[in-house]
Amino acid sequence: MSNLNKPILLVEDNPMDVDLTKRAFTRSRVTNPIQVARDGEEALAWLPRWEAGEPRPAVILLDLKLPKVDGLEVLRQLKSHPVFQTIPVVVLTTSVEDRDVQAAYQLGVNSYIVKPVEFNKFIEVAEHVEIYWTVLNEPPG
Amino acid sequence: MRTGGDVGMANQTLPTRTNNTLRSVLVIAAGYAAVASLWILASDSLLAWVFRSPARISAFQTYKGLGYVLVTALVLAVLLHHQFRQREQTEQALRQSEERFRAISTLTPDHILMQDSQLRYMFVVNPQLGLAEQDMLGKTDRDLLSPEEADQLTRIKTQVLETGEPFHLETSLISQDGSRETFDGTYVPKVNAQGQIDGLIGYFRNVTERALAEEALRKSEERFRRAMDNIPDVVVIYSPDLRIQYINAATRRLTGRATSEFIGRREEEIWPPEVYEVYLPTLKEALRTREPHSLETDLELPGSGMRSLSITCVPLLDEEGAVREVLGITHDRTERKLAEMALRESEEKYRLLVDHSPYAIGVHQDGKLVFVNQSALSLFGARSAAQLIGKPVSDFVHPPQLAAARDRIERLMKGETGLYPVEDRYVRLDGSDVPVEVTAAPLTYQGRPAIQVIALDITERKRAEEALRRYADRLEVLHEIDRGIIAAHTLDEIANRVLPHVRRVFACQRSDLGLFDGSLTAVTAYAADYEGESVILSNTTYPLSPSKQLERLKNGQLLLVPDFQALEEDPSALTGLLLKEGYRSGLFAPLMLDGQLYGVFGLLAAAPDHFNAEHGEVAEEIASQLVIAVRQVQMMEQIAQHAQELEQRVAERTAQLEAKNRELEAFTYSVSHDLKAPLRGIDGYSRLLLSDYVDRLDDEGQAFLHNIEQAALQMHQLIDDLLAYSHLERRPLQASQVDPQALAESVLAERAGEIEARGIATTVEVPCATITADPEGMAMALRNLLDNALKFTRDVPHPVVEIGGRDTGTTCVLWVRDNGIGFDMKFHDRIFDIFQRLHRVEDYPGTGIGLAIVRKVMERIGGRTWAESEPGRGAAFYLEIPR
Repeated sequence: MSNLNKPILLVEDNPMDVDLTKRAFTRSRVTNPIQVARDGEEALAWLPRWEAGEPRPAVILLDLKLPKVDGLEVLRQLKSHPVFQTIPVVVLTTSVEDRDVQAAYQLGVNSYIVKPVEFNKFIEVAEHVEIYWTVLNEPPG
Repeated sequence: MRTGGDVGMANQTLPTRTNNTLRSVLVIAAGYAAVASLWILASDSLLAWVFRSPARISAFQTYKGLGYVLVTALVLAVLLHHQFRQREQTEQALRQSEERFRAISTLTPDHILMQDSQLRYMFVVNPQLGLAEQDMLGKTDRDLLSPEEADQLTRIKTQVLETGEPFHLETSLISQDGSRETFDGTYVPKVNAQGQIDGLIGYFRNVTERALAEEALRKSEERFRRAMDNIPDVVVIYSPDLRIQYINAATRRLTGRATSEFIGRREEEIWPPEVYEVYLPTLKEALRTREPHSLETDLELPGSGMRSLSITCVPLLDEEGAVREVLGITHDRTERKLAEMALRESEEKYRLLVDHSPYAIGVHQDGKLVFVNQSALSLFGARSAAQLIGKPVSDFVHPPQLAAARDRIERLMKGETGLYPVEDRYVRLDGSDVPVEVTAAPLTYQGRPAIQVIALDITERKRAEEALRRYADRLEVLHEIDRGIIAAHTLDEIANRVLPHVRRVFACQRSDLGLFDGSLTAVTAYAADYEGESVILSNTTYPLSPSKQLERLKNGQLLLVPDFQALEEDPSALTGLLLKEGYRSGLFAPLMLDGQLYGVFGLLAAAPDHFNAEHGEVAEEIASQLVIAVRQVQMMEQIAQHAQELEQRVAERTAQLEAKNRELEAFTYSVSHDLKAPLRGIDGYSRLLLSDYVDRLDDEGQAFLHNIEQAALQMHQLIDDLLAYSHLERRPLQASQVDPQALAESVLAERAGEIEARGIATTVEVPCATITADPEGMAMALRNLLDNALKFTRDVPHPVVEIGGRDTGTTCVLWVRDNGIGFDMKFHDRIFDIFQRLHRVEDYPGTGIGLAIVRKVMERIGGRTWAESEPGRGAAFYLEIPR
């Protein structure tokens, strides 16, 4: 299945951010269906669903500041899963803290992007992410 | 050659011997001619008379001729016979005369010669020079003698021949055998019967021997004269009648008179009576007795002063025993006498010196004392020199030192130097020892080698040295103790460092440091030292009961216990313990602190009465040092304790701080996160509104939305800045080598886009050496300054931004200069404050945190920042980084 139809999993707790992200994707003509997890727990809940056969996302956009289960914890679990560790994870967060970046990469994150405040820029970023991960990048098998 | 002849006669013509012969011949010829002529005439006439006939005449011519011949022959014969006989007579007379002459000449020893006018030898009597008569006859001097001799003689002889004056000379010639012979004689001209000089006669005596003798005599006289003149003594030779024949040079020197004043004169003619009357009798006596006589006298010689003379008169006798000459030799003893006097005087002085010297001076010869002075007597405790003189020196040297002393003497005699002075030990007459300092030197005593010894009793000196040494020891000990005190941090250290030295000074068996408890009922020995080892008895507390001894200590007085056994009171447990351990005497110095008895410094000895007053003094000094030491140790412990507490508190504080910091970090972290999220919302939705609902909004509405957007952005910036600022605080300082040029270039490169887009002219020239600084912080500071420069040159047509630098040796100064709008210097300090801005936000955006960050960065690395500007003329911001 081509990436164009693969879903993009967005793990984000802030409703405004969710909304804005979705809109950003729309404006940048991202056509992939957007799945949303509102906290870490919800995000991890997808694992069994994928195991059950639901389509895996082309890329997971992960915020770090999440209630219930922290973003880094989600990342760890994702990346330690024997099967689903191959799903590209892009951390999309406000934190530019060195140690967050380090930690994320240590856990095997594929990319780390800092969320811009300006919406315009945000749209650009969304565009880039979409193009890169869903078009350019070769997905794992 | 001695010559002596008169010169001045006119030359005479040479007489010829041929005159007489010619005359005789002429006579005979004349006679013959006369007779012949007569005959012829006569015969002719006779014949004519006798015979008339011519025929007969002619017949008789033959007979006439014959008769002529006969007659002339007869006449000739007669004439010749007469002549010849005359001649023969003459010859005979001559021969006779010659024979007589020869007879005489053979008797004469003299050499006689006769030479003809050509100076050919005609006749020689007693030929000399090894020549024989035959060799000489007919020859000239030139043929017989060497050219020089021949010339010489010939010249003289020629002169004689010419002048006719005899010539006396003495000459010497070399004979055939090479020896030189001397002749004394005369040449006289030989005059013939006619009175003409026809030759030369010489008669000489061979005076070679005489000449040799004369020569020898002259040489001998010469030698004599030289010898005499070299003799320093006055030598006068008198004739038998006491006239001076000869004086030598010394005589002239002594008297200052010339030879002429003496020769031929008698003493009485030369000197005044007071002079000659001194020695003339001796001279006369010598002459009379024909025996040598001498005289020693002091004489005032006019012109030379008082002289001490030794006069000897020696008569010289000839073969018959009569006095030929008298020899007077005078020796001037003046100098020697003066020297003798000086020596005697010096010897006197020396004797006085030796006798009165405080040093003991002695002379020993052949191992025995031959001389001692007064001080030597007192050194050895002798009453008189007799007790010492003649005794062997070994009796007086301390036996163990004897061998060394002997060795030294031997080496001294061999000429070695540097052996003395030495310290030695001598033995008195009473057998006691005395330490001495000795110097010895070789000496000639009464003509034979001896040794002079000078010795000084150094008993006192040694005592003083000993005292000094003890004192020095004491000082050293105290010094060591001081050092020990300074270095000791614990009571153990005090014991180990201080007490061993202490024991050395007191030569006792144990030293203690005891500390009393507050009520003085117990003493705790904190440190003790046993002989040979250092042992710490810590916390061994001995109970104490009040006693007189304790009272003394309490009053700060030294306690000296000569004998524990002799203590009046019942010995306390402590005393008993000490006695049991074998200590009999003790010295205790109290350690007083603020007037209270704090501790005790104790010394214990096995022997009773070991300690004296001097020990006490030292003990008190040490005690005062020990007080300090103990106190110091205690204080140090307190300090250590305090330090520990402090550290603990600091640790706690630090922990607190760190906790706080972490809190803060977490806070800012979440703040940034949480604050940014709604901001995103604000910006996002307002933008959506702007893009999607733009047609449903009027201008005002759009403006509102625009403002909302701006506000959100600002807030974002603020949050970022705050984050950066607090981040700066929390981050630990990294110090690494930073190349200022590279840093400037990289910071500039970050803004390359904007710089290019706006066409800003930039220069980066930072000729500084590498600095040690926090690279991130430096980058941040530079970045902020650059951003400001870029910002405030926005409205300048030709913006120029310059990054420069300079080394000052101790620091590196960087600057960012722009030609932007600048600022008034009165705001200089404010602009570095946090959130301080000079411009309206719509004119120049910014939160006012940039410069605050710069200042914070510089503060953290110990540098500083400042600015220079003029409104409208740009600004320059400086960073000073210490090396």
